[in-house]
Amino acid sequence: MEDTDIIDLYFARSEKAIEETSNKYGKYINTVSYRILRNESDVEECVNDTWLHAWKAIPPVRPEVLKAFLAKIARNISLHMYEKTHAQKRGSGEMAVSIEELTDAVPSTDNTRGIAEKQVLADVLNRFLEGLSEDNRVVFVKRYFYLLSVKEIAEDLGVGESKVKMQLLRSRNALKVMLEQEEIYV
Amino acid sequence: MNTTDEKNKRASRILEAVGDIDEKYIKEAEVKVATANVAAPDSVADSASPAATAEKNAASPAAAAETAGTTNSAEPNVIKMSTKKGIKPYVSAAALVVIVGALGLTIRNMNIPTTTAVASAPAAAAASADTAVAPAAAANEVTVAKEAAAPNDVAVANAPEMAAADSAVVDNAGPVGKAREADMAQGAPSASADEAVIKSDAPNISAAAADSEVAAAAINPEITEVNPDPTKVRVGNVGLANPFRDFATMEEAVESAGYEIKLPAPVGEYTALAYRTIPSDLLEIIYSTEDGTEGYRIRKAPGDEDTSGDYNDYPEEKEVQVGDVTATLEIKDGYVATATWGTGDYSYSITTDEKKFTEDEAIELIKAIS
Repeated sequence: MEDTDIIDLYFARSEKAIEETSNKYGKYINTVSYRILRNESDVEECVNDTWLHAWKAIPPVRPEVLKAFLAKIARNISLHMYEKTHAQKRGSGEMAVSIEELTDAVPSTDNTRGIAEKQVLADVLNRFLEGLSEDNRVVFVKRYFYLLSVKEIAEDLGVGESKVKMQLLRSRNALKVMLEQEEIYV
Repeated sequence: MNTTDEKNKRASRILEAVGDIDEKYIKEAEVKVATANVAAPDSVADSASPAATAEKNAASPAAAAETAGTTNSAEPNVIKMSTKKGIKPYVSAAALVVIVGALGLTIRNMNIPTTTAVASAPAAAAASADTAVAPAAAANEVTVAKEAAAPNDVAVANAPEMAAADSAVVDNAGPVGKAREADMAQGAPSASADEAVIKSDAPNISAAAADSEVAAAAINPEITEVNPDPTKVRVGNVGLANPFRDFATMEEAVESAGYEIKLPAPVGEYTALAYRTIPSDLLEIIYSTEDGTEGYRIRKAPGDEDTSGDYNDYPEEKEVQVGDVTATLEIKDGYVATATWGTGDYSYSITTDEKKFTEDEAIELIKAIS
């Protein structure tokens, strides 16, 4: 079923919308969540929550790219669950590694202007991604949106791990420069 | 807080903000669907592989009946969501050993041939043999086992009934349902969650197995509950009620929500035509024209989370002060798409559809509601 037809089902408040969404994107959303949580029961809960959030959001929202819209929801829910379940054991998992990597990108800007709003930061990130080459952008998003490991990205793209690491390092440094230039405090 | 913690916290903010990047970048870098280590959702049919589905169904008539019942269901007001709790495969496998052993022991005590006893648990047999042909082969023998076994003694899976059944099935029926997980642990594809789900018309555990901590852990009472209304039971899924309830009047909706809301005067040609709640969680009023064109909706919910449910990115976001309230406006094409704010113990949102609010109009609404 086409995305537009699925979205129409949501607007018609047809419960078939959930079923069709699950049929079409269930495995994908499962994958997105699993990359973060690595625990089947947690993933399942997040996937169900994703459907519920989508059901609550559509309407009024009419997603432009349903798959990415669902992935965003699933990622946010999964991150929150990760934080909740790992509160007592920080420092484990791919997410913790990603955070550690991203400390490279933390600008040295002082905080006199206050912490940037999430949306402001997202706007900067969008402009930053726009400025990257497609190769580097895909690697960056795979790593920090989908939280794939370096090895998984390398396998996925058919390149060496060292290349992926180098691309990520350069991207993080470039992001840091951009945040500092725009005096964004995070 | 030391420097490392501070840096990690700031890096976390970046990571979180990455979740709000433009959807085109998310799509551009989308990941391949994992085929290993990731459990496929129960409700996901492998639509891309009809042959695989047919093969699965041929090997497992019970699952075929269930799958058909699941996908063809047209029950109103039910959203199918799996609530199966994941249980580690090795625990399930251990539980299977205990249960199959108990099953054999009990039936041997009843002078039922052992071969029949094994056959009466087709999915379990399938799991142990790492094959999925047992149900069909065992179908006729199972009836004998079922009649012989005391209902409260042993969980006897009844394959013939299962195959014929288009109702009255149990979600993830305890030990046999876990056979799927054992299969997955042995490297079998995770294509179908329905594959080894089977009905049990007796309690899912023998007295002997009940003594086993492992078995008890493997059998989650939440997922073996039998719906008294067989027409509403899902195999491998649970029928979950549509969270929203619709009401004819505001008063009824308020009673359901458990809190009131100040409603502004309708704007333009839009009037409040729908009152809905997720009881104790969300109150929503939808403003539409008489011909059903939705203009906008207002939501109120306990807590301080964003109630709009709008995960879209908008080109512009700004905060406005409305009396004591700081509201966030998300703006597209010069009009407010979403307004969110909180006051007291509640959060609010206005989301627009056909109605285009200017910032001033949105602020007037926020004033009226807060």
